[in-house]
Amino acid sequence: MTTQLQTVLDGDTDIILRRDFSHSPAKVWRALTEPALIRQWMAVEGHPMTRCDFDPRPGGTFHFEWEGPDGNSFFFSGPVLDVRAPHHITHVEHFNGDPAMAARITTDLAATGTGARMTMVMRYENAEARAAAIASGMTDGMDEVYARLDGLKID
Amino acid sequence: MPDLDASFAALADPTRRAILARLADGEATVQDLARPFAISQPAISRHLKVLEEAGLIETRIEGTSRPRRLRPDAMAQLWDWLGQYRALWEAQFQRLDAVLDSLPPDLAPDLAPSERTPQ
Repeated sequence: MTTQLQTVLDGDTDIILRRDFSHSPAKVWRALTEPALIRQWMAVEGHPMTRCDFDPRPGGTFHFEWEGPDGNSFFFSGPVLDVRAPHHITHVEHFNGDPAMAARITTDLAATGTGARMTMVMRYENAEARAAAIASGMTDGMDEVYARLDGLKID
Repeated sequence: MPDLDASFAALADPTRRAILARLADGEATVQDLARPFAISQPAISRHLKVLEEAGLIETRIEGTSRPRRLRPDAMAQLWDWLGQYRALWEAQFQRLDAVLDSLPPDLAPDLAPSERTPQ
């Protein structure tokens, strides 16, 4: 079974992530939706989560917040639109509460012979919004990428 | 076709990454770009030259104005190249694997066999 993460730019507006897990959709669902478990894997080295709320029901909301390297906090938050546990959730994600920076995120968990396959589609308003999200993700994440690249063997 | 090694080298500098993020919102002149940074316009121009030589941005000529903008194909190719590393997301999903390993076994099968799909 492949656990390799696939990341694809699809069309003008979508980013698609695919990954296999060696556990059932029910377990992966728990890790994706229970704050006590989310905190364990969403904390970035040196950046513990300072807030982790998730009400995975239609009409519910989520709020994930971290303290950044400069002491400023940053957060993702938004409404939960559609839920069919343990296989499907659709939510909208705003960065730092900015209504202009929004992505509609659809997460599907399908049972495989050995576990679960997660497919996450992040859809932006238009090509420019997706480019801005990629560029700001680079801005925020590249220092860590470079630090990790130092320790990676690249062929 | 942008030179991807040059693209990655161009992105090693945080000011150039911030310039790129700003241009992702729309084209801008050297003056526009210099404003949020505590550095001179000539210094910004040098950063823009590196980004342009890496094939990440281009210059539009409009009278005496020279607005810079992102090259759309550059973003897609950069994404493909960066995607090879996937360092951040994959590291996060490996932590998720560890959380899953720590959970107790399912009390009951969560799916009927008919719901399972072949690998």
